[in-house]
Amino acid sequence: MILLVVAVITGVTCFALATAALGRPTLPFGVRVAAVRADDPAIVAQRRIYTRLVLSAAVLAAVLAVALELGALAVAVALGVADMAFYYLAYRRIRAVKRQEWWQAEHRYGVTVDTSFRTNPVRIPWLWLTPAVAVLVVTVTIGWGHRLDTVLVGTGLVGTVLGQLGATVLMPVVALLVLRARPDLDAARPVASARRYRVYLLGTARLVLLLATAINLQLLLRALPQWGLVPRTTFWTAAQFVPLGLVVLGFLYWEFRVGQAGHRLPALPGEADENTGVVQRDDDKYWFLAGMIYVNRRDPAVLVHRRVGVYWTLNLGHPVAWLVLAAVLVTALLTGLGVIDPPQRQNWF
Amino acid sequence: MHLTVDLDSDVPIYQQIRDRVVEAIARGEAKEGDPLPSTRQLAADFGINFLTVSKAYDLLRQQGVIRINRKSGAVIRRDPSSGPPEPGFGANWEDRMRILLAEATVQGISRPDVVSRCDALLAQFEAVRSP
Repeated sequence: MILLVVAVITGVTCFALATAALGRPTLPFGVRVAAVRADDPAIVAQRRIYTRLVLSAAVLAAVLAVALELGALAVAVALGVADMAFYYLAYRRIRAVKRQEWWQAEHRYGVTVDTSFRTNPVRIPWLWLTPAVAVLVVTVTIGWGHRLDTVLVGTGLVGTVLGQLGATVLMPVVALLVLRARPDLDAARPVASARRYRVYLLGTARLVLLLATAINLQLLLRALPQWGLVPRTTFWTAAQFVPLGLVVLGFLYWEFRVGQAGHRLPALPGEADENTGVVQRDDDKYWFLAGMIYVNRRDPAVLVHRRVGVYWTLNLGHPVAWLVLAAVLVTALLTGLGVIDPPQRQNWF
Repeated sequence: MHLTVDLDSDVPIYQQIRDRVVEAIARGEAKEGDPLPSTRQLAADFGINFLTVSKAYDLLRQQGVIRINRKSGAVIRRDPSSGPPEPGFGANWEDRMRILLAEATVQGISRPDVVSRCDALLAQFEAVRSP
């Protein structure tokens, strides 16, 4: 139990530190600054304070968890909320310094578009979906060969295959949305940022498709003990989380290697000198909660890259976003009232 | 084709988009027959109103730089290798150049300076075309 708590604390702390460290230098804690301000003493100080706070919270959480015998989930939630609060604090302070010292007045602002993202877009790397399809075929073959009860939904053959089919269809849709969302380029360095963003997009799309393989494998591994094909041991219970864990590790590795929007990729010859003389548009006033939520009524884009992490978010000022949210809300409400019957899930906590 | 717009400039955004497209073709970043994004798509990528992009495309179409099809959308209509300019272009262009040269003269830029600057800019465009 203690081992699990320590693992959870390490995981949450690493995630919190990586989020701050791997974000773009021009977006420290979700605040837009020019490249010349990226190493400003005020920002460096906030980075140091944030790291210290996160590490102190981790130690405190470990001590409290052992002393009070807290559960892993409670520790993870409490530590996660505390780290988010530290992040928000850093965001508030950097924004305050930026306002006080009038950093906005130092530059001309611009916005850049690379039309090749539309006329020659990054295509869905379909080859990366083959493992997912293969797992689906293997599942059907195993189920068919053993003449399993095909009517039983849930962990039965039909339920498992339907779940896998869902993942195999849904993930390419997610990849397509990500590939077609507005590219997050830097107006100060249009050529370099567009080249890097292309690499970043392709890798992210591949990982999204691999996620389908992981989900399909998990569903198969979950069903195998139920079908009586493998013993119901802890080993097989744990094994079903390995594929998803590997894909999560893949995402972390990818973010570490290329960075958010590809900013960590090495510069090609000549790229380091690129400077258009304008700085990427300052749209701080449309971003809320340290660059997590975007609301801009005048922006025609629906899906935008978030300022924090490898995520995309809806422009909550767009009517399409309202429709999507309304649909989610209605589905949740109907499920809550029992009108829609969701597939049964095993509870792991 | 990279299009960068200066939001703090006095030049209207539609004019800037039009200028950037023409420059990109001169630099060889786009050639005859290359497609352009739809007005709505380009507006979403810039984060501006689609009517602004529409206005820029309209200017480009009037000047014969692009053509707009109902089916295939906006396509580049000419580049340096598309042959001589259309009749009437020269006079219009000379009018605009007269203003630029008058400005240079008023500001005291000498004739050799004007010529050498023009040479340098043209060399940039030609360098891309004949590597």
